[in-house]
Amino acid sequence: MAAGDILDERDAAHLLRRAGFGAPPREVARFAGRTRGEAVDALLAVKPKATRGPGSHRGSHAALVRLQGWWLRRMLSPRYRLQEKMVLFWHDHFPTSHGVVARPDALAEQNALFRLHALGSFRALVAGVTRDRAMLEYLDGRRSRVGEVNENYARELMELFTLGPADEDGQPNYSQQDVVMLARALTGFHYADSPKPLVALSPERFDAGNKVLFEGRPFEVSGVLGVQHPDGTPFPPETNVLDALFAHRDTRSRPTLARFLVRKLWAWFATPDAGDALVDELSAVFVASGYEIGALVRALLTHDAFYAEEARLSTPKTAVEFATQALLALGVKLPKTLNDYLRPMGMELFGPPGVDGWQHGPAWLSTSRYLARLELADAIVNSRRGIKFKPRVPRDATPEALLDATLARLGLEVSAATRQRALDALREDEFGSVRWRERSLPGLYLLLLGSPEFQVH
Amino acid sequence: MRLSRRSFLKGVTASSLLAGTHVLGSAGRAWAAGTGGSPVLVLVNLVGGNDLLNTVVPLDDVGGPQRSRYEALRPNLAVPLSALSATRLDHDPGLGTGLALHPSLGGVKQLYDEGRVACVLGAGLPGSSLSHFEAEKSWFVGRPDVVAGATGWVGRQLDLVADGQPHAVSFGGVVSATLDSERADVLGVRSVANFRLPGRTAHAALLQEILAEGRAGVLERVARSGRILLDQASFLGGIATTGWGSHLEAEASGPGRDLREIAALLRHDALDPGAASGFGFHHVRVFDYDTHSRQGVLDTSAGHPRLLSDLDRWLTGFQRDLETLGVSDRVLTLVYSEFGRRAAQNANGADAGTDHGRGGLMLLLGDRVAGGVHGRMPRLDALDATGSLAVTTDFRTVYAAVIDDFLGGDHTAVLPGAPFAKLPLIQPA
Repeated sequence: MAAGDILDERDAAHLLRRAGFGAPPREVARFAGRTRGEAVDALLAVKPKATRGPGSHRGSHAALVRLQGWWLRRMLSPRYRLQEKMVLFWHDHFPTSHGVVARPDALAEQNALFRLHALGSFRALVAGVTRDRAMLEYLDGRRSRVGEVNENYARELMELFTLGPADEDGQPNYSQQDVVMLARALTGFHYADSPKPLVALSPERFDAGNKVLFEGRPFEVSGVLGVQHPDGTPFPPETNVLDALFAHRDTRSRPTLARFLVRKLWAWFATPDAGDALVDELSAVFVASGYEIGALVRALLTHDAFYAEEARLSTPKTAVEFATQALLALGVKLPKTLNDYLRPMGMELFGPPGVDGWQHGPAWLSTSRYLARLELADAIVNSRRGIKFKPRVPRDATPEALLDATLARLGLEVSAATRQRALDALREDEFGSVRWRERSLPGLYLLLLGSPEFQVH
Repeated sequence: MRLSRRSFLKGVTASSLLAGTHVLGSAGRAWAAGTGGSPVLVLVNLVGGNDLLNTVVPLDDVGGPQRSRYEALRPNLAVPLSALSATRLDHDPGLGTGLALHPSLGGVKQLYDEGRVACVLGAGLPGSSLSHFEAEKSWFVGRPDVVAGATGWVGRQLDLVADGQPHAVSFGGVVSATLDSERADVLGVRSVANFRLPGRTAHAALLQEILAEGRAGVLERVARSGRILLDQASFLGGIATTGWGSHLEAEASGPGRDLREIAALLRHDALDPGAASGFGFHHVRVFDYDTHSRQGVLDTSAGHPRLLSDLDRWLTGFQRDLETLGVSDRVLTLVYSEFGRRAAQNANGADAGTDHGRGGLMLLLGDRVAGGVHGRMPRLDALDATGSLAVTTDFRTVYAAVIDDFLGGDHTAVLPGAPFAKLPLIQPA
């Protein structure tokens, strides 16, 4: 085994930030010294269960806040970090907003579906989302029936969820005719507006006519296309139309769906742009595994390119990552008010802005979002609004030692000039005095949490 | 920080005037200072695809079967003639069918009668995508073939006169791609009223120094955003956003609040030109126009009628604020959406909605607008292969008019594929 395969503390901290939500120093130390494979396998070793958060039939603001809080607590649990990082990815990938679906039970159910398949079969996940109550409401699938076809879900299923509008050479992956054909094949799902509704596929609502999808291309399918479900349906269609999405090939005969998802997952975990060679390599892994998400994630998180210097400080943290990393690194318990901060930071859970999820990259650090991060940092360092932060200052500490320990805790590497500013803040009042604890010490944490380096990982 | 900003702005004003003379020509000088007399463009983006046919409704079959096709295509969505008598648009009969605004747009109709509203019909790009994201990209970028990393059409105008100060504000927190630029800074603002730095001034000063250190790549982009934030926070925090009699005083959140805060900035600039904001561009987003289902017809408690009724209140209140403040002669509001919707309804009964389409609607509001109906209503007996209304007006002919005739710029320097034949939308100042 190559020596480079062993994680040092810096690698371990990088892995726990990206594959999870950050970690306190003792957790980082626990992962250091393991091989990449051992470390990632430990993260992957979570049973696939559809664990569901609280949420009843009736929507209310309080119910939504309970569900959001439940999910945030799970994110902060060391055991579930990779699973929950994937649940968050799937929520971003297959978004549903409480503004449209004001039913906490449906949102909790969808969230549990993402958890069940978080690291499992992507085929099963796509099939599950297609008949998921929240999605059927969000993108109107429940209203799409024979003769009254609604194109909303079919279009986004191809454009945003599986293929992308065009391949890497700019050639369209499908036509408007394909949107209509797929929409017809996806007709028939419905459920009643009752407290415990079951999603059903009914023959009366299904368009049983002949359809041609991807006409004239090598992977064209035709016949009574529809959705087959493992539970059985009253009228199994001849061809499972969802399989056709997996069979799609780009104009260079490469697997479109695998490449699309690899690029998106790489950007989620590593750097904004995966190079072509990396996409070739990882999509081959994904296809060979039979579209097992866990296999792809393992290949990704153990890859040299994931640990390369170019991958560090390459990607603006999402608002949730900023908040959780700060809380975990500083040993602050999850405050009930966190969602009040996540919203202005641009990332309310169960409230993605549109069907394409959250906009990533520098958009996370627009001026007003940066401001919202400073507001959360200010509340943390001054223990405001239900937040309790107890900075640990050893009796014999010097400003320099305290700064170094804090930088290590936050996983930060900063310039000599930034160090000097932080020391200036620490030296404003007599070291160790009450005034120092109330004024100078919060300044140190505020400057570091507000530094550009802490916004990026 | 306020004082330093004021003195900095003075310097900027002088230097951009200078730059205007020697480098940029009159295009830059016209607005770069952002103070008295310079034009202000307010963009309102209806996100999701606003339904042209139920916003500007055909009334008869003059010149072609418009009304009869409309009723046949939309048995559950057609706005009945009986509801349209008060919002009938007076326009050139040569354009064909009679038209009326949706009854929820009574305030806009009043502005129309005053000659302050231009309705641009069938706006879009021929053959445009039915995808939200591809369609809106071409509106943002101002070209049909969207290339990666392209800047926005307004962003390129900003680049022409970039002077190190932000001149544009994007409401809603995240910056619209319309304003994406290479050099110019754009402020993302969730609310002007809450744009105040937390914590102690001493710490802000230290953070300012940290943000000013040399960095590269994404770190520099982040640091730059932080620098603008710290530079602007005390200034914006001092703007009186309420309490001065705005017609939108009661709008506590959302686009109505955004427009009130824009009016508040204009008020500040008018009262204190020496410390003017310098903002000449604003962008506001209005969500939920993707009416695939339960679109509704007249009931303003939900669906499309509610969207239009809110929009009517906001646009009218904003225009009245501008008049009260005495700045309505230099502000243009441009309302746009990524596409219009399909001609036919997609379901029967209350579920009826409309899928993505093509030809859409742009609205221009302001004293400088050449009021009336511009462009042709797409024909309902000549839908395209997808069943969408055809595009009858290339939106770049509108952009060109705004750039040249309102901003005093040169659209050939901003829009690829120029020159475009400008629509006569703007009256001389």
